[in-house]
Amino acid sequence: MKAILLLGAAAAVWLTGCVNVKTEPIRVEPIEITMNVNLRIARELDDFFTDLDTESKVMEVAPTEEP
Amino acid sequence: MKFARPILLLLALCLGALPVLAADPPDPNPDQLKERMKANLPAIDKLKKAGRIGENNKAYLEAREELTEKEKALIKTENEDRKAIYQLLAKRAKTSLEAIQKARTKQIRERSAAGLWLQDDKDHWYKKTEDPA
Repeated sequence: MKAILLLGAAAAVWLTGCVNVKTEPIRVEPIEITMNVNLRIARELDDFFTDLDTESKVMEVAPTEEP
Repeated sequence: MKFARPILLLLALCLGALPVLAADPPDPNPDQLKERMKANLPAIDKLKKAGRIGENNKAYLEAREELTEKEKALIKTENEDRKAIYQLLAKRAKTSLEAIQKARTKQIRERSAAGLWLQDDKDHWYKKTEDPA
């Protein structure tokens, strides 16, 4: 009986030693990066060209929505 | 030995100028570019409305029929200004010149009035039609 208990305890210790905690690296989704770049491009273009396009007689600038 | 000192001085000047020569050219002034583009806008609008020029698929102006020398010079100046601003915006948005041109082309297609010449992605020219209501 004592031997079985000892064997059980040894097995428990051995199995606990096998527990492996693996930390996955943080992944930044490519879709998110593309969206950010597209937003930056849209903002830069709007900042520069909206004035000019509004003044043009052959361009129509849709009114922007208030946030 | 007589010329050693001037030669050394010249060498030092040349070496001193190296970092300046190697540095990137200064960014163009966007306000100055915008002012010039604004000044050229009425003439460009007139040519667009008359169907003599169009917007190509690289976000530049292109002749659709024979232009006068003065008109050609105007288009050249406008396209040079556009290129300078696209390069500046690409640098600011940390992206490529092509990405800026592609986004501006899309914006031009959306904002252009009906009847203007536009070029699609397959290099085919078409006149914009009225948006269906």
